Amino acid sequence: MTRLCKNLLLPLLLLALSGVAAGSEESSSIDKALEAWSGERTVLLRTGLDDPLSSSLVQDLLAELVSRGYEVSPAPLDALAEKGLILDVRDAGDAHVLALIRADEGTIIAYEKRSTHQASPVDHRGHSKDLQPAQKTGPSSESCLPPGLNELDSQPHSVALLDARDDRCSILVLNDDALLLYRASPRGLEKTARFPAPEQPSRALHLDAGDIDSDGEKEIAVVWGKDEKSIYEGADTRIHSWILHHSEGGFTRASEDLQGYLRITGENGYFQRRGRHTPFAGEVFSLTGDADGFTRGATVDWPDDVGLYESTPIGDYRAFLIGDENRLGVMALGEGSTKAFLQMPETLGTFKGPEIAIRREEAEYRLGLSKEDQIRTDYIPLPRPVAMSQDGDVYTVRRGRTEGIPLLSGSAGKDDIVRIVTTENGPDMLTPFDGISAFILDFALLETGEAPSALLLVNEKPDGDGTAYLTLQTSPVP
Amino acid sequence: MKVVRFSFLATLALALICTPAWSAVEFFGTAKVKPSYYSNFDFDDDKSDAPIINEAGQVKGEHIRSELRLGWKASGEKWKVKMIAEADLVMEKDNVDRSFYIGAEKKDSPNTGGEFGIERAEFIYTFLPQLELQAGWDIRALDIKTGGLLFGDDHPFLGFRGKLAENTGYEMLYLPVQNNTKFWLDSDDPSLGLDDGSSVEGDWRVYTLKLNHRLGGEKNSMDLSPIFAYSDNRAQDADVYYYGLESTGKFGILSPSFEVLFADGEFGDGTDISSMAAYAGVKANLNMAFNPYVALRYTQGDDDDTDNDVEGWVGITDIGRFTPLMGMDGNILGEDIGQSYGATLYSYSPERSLPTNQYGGISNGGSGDNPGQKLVAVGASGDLSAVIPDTVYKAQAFMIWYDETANLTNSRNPGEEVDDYAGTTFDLQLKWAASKHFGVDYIFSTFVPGDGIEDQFGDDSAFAHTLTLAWAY
Repeated sequence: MTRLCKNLLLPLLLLALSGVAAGSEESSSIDKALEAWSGERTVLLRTGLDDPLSSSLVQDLLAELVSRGYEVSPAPLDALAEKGLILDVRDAGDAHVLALIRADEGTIIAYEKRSTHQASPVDHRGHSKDLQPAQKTGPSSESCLPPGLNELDSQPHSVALLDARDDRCSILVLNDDALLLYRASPRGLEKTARFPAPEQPSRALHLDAGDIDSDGEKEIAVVWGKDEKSIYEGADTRIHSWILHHSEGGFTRASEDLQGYLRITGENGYFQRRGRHTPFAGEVFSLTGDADGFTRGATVDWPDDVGLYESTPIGDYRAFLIGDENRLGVMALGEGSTKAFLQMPETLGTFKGPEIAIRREEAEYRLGLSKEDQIRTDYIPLPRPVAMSQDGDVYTVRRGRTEGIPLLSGSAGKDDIVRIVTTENGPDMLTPFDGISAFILDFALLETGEAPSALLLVNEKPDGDGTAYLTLQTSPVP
Repeated sequence: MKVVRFSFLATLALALICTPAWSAVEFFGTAKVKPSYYSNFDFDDDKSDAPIINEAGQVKGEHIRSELRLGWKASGEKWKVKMIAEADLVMEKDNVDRSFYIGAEKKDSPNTGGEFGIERAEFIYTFLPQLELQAGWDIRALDIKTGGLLFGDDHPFLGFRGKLAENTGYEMLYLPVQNNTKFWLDSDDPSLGLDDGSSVEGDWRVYTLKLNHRLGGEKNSMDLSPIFAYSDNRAQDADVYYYGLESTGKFGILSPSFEVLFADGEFGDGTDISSMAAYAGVKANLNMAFNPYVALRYTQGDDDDTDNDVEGWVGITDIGRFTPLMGMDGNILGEDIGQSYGATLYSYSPERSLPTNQYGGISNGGSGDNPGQKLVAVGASGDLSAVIPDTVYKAQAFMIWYDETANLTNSRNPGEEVDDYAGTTFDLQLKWAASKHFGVDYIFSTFVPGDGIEDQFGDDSAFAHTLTLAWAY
């Protein structure tokens, strides 16, 4: 039998096999076969779709393949390849059928069937909510980004939304050396403004945008860290931060270097310093000011001994806190509160944001007296990003993706954005968005529709040193 | 490949299953390769240097030495165990192949560096915050944060430490530095019978107590630390009590530090030991690229090695090389220039300049008849990343005088007293800190002899060049 016959007959076989139950995505045979493949890392993707990139399944597959180092070529159904792999995707009614084929032999090495029914967001008890299935609603016709993963030519660590109208939005990303503004539309991204980090060299730590002075224009809070190294005293990160405004002429400073952490949640701005030998120290202050400038204001109620990015106030009396074992909890604000009084059972996975180098007060002679044998610095990762929607729900990153074991396996699993709603029985965790086969570094909420969409900044690597992408996820109407 | 991978994972899984669930073992280590060149440590171009001791053993001239450290630790809520295996060697075939292992000697010298051994061990149990038991042989020190005049080393220890109050702590240690129990009258001929002598003959035991109290808060603070040590040095037949005060502080951009120490004791023959040492320094954190410091270091010298008073300062281990302000890991004063100036490895003071009335120091070789030292240091350090990415530096100059020169011999003008200005050292260290896991640094260090050195040894400058390629994991 010729190779051509084998390749043409296989699609028929796929449909015939579509009645066979497929493995769950969690134990994907396709994933295992991709991981085990030791031949040429090219994939001919045959979908039969007019616009394959508009399919969420294809988007996920592309993300998975690219993150594993495969070169992907979309092709018509009758396309052939001499080496590498062929991935056939067919619509079988209420499911998609996937088959992974050795191009040189025409043999199927992995097969799967994936339901097309949109997974309903579930509460933390695993109960499916009564929602509209299949297609995601939301501002899809007004999506301000091309669908799928939009590759960036830099490696930002933070993202924020400056504005969004109809099918256009202004997206801020924070790189180590500069803040960039992109004008985004369904046709693509256009870089339109740049604010270089005043202190060089710097590392991007945090970015937020919000209207904290209620003048209708968003303020932009940028936080960079500058590492000061010493041969014998280790490294220490100095915090440099500014409030910026954006206008037609570009970015302008609306504050002096505040030299502390900044955060904007909703319409509230916050400030906190780092300690000499601790990442966060002292009280949390509000940010106050107007068009003429912003500065540190009065102290605000904040959980004791909790850093600025470690907690998110909900109302006047409570705050969310991600505590032990990466579990979300609720704690009371006010004097003496240090522990969550209500903790959710699910873990959000281990998330490590940009690191702060904290010089130790005392050297640890871990291996000896030489400078390399001492521990002089602790590297503290900043916590996961948390955002609050206009209706008061909290969104954050659940890290489900892992890097794998060095030399033995690649990245696997998915990250997603979870939504925490406050009910009379306590916090409830929902999953409004699909998981993504990439590491979510940061996200912003786009609230132009009935339900927030999530603008994700993702990267091949958890530390942000790989290829970066922006993507927009929408969710069903709750 | 799949079979290999499966076998490895299976083995790893089995190891993890067998590992107690209540502790995890953490591995870490460093590897350093150090091409080095020493010249004229005797200050005489016309003579070949005597052997120089460094971490790899005896060396001379150009060599590449390697320092390998592999450590592991496990801990629970109240306990901690840490061990470090170490190999320090000159990189040559015999060392790396261990090809002279049989007999473990080469030209009558033992192979002390070529084998991996447990170099350090530390065992901790916390009964209470006020009472923590500690034992092992790891880095312990009394004044390493200031002048390093008294003690800092990895001697064996057994002791306690803890916090007595929020800002007050203590540490007390028993250090069996030497325990040379002699079993046979003649170790080469046990048939002669057992030695009926004392079980402490040849021993050296040190008992230490240090308190620490902090004054001030986050922005401005000062630590005061009274120090006490008793050196029961049977090996040298000397009893010496040390006492003093160490202090470090932080006041805005200034970081001052000082210590003052006294030694009081006697040899078994009644010879009195009485000496003192002191240090003071201050560093200014001006900006990222330039942080200058100035420091003074003093060790008392002996003015007459024929009398019944030994006045030269000898600590338990002078650890000047690893002190924060004046220290540099590879400068010439911290290397072994015992053959001339008299400062042995790690020590900054000339305690080896004479062989008499020894009562302490590294390997118990420090002489109470030594000339002492007055040292003025100026230096600066900083981060040059704004100009050269990932590059940091430290530079310093020491002006060194002898405290007393009566016991030194003037070979240039016999019969005349040796001049008290020993000389000037200049050190420059540049490091490219590529990442947390790899760095390269180079030290250029020179000792320009003053009249004091020229009167005794020669007028040629001594040099130490050390390149360090360091991996950390």
